[in-house]
Amino acid sequence: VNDIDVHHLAAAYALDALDQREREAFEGHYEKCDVCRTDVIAFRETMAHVADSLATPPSASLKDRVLADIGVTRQLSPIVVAPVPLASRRLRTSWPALVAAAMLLVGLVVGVLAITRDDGDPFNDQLAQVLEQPDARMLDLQVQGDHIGTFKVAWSQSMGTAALMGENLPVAPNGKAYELWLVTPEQTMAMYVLDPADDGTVHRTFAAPAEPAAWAITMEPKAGVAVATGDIMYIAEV
Amino acid sequence: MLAAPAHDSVVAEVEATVDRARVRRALSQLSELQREAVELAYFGGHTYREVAVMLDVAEGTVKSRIRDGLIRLRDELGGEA
Repeated sequence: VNDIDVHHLAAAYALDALDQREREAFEGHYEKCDVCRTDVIAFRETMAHVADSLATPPSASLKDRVLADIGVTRQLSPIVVAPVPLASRRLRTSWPALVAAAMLLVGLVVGVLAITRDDGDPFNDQLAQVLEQPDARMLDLQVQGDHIGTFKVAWSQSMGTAALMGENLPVAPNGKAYELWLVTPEQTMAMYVLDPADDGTVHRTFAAPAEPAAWAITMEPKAGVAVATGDIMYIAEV
Repeated sequence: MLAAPAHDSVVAEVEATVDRARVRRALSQLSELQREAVELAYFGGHTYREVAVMLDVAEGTVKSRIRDGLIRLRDELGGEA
């Protein structure tokens, strides 16, 4: 086995897909090769990520709630595919079931998103649509100073829609309101004045007319302002 | 203002949904042969030689498809575990 071939075994080694002779040859090389060690670690992390993701069905509580919302009984049972630890992966008999189950899960996720879209609730509906876009992004806004509460924003540039989710938000002082800003390199655009519900949550979808460089929230007069005057309380840089 | 209690923990679950969508997208970027080779080797626990027999392609082809597929997945998923 020459040197170039040995490097190229890193991927198959990471999947434990070498036969014994090649595995031994690779392990001799691996000890001395930083590139191969880095590759193997990255490939294994990648596959663990893929396996975990396929193995975790959408939260039962979310599914149940979504389905309860639309008044139907769940037709599909949750399927859980355990990620297969590398060390015990030489069980040669189970792959079709695992692959099939993984594929089924993908279908289930798509199905739940499709159902969510039809549940008639404006927020769930649009959030699901945003998350289905190939360019969907989501960020946590970082809390500045000693403010409390959390915000997440999900958006799709191609769809031109964003969804904002806030939790544990204090009631705004009298005459004030939270205001959301979409920041681009050219301008800071006022998006929405936010009025948290009694339980401190905000769930809101809105048109995102430009590509954000950052999302920010300030405290402003209740009627809203076109130019921010308050300090940034929460911010996410894209 | 929407205040439906049903949404209270949606936020906590959105990240997982986004992650699943990313993984699905990443897998969809692989060629069919890359995806099959990686799945059979990883989920199936087969060596690449066995995969070559199962898919009826050359061993070197399977080896390079596994490598190409993993590089693509690694780059698409950006190391965010």
